[in-house]
Amino acid sequence: MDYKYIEQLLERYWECQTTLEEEAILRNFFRQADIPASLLPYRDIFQVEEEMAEVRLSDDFDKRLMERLEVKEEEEVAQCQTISITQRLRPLYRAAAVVAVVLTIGMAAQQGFNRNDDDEAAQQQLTAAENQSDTLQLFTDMPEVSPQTEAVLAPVSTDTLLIQ
Amino acid sequence: MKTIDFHNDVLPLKDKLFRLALRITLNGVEAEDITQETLVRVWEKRDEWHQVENMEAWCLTICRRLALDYVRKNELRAEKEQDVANFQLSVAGSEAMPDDALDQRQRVEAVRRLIDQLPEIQRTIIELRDIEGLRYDEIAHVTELTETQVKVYLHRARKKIRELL
Repeated sequence: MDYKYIEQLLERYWECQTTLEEEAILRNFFRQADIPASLLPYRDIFQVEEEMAEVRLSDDFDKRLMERLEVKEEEEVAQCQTISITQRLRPLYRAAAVVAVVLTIGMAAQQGFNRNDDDEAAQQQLTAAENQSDTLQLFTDMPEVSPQTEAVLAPVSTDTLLIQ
Repeated sequence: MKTIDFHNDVLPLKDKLFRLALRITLNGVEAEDITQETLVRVWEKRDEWHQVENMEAWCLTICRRLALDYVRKNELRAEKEQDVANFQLSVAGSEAMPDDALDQRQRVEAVRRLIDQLPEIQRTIIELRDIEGLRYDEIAHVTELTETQVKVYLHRARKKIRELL
């Protein structure tokens, strides 16, 4: 058998120029029992790699993994339920907040109006009182009237008017 | 777009993930924990599966990162290779082997020890290329290197092994 092709593949293998298919050819070649002496040393590397490829996890790995994933799934479901209830009530909370704000504003405005009305009434009363006071002051401040003036200002009977 | 199923598409990757974790940590127990953690994290990210182009490369990337975190924390070295040997399938017991076979067994073990003593990146690339059969672009994705860098590291690793043979 001409092993030249294998030797060429090996040279390219060391230079990292082989394809995956060519490397598979080399592995298949070195699996067989009849290897020429010149190529025998290279069998060790392929044998080591073949043994490394046969390493497996322990048999109970899947079981332990699934148990752990089941716990995680339960935790996620519980978390989703909590979030779901909160999310469902959120619109209600928003609506209640809006109503509270509107009521607060309304009540504040109403108080403001009431205060303004009271203020106006109080102001009007105050103005009236001031006017009254002024009027009283006028009479208080009036100068004394002379007897002649008083006589002129006194109510005149109609007989008197007729005579004149 | 193909719908990815955890049991059919992800779980079958477990042994590849384990071998990669083992290659990096050189510790079988830790490699198994890292493999489990990798699969849990992949499961937790199931909302992102539809965005993943190559599920195998993605899972191997997560696994490698976890393994490297472990190594950085523990500063493991190649003296842990005995743990690795314990997890290898025994092809044939050495006690009953003829001399030729025993010699070959010893040579094979010498190559294995050499691989375990390579720098992590070279060990990883040997694992991904020669054992798991990944393409260079896939290896570049997992190792977060360029394809050129991958080939350079692989060349160095194979050269060291060739010098031993």
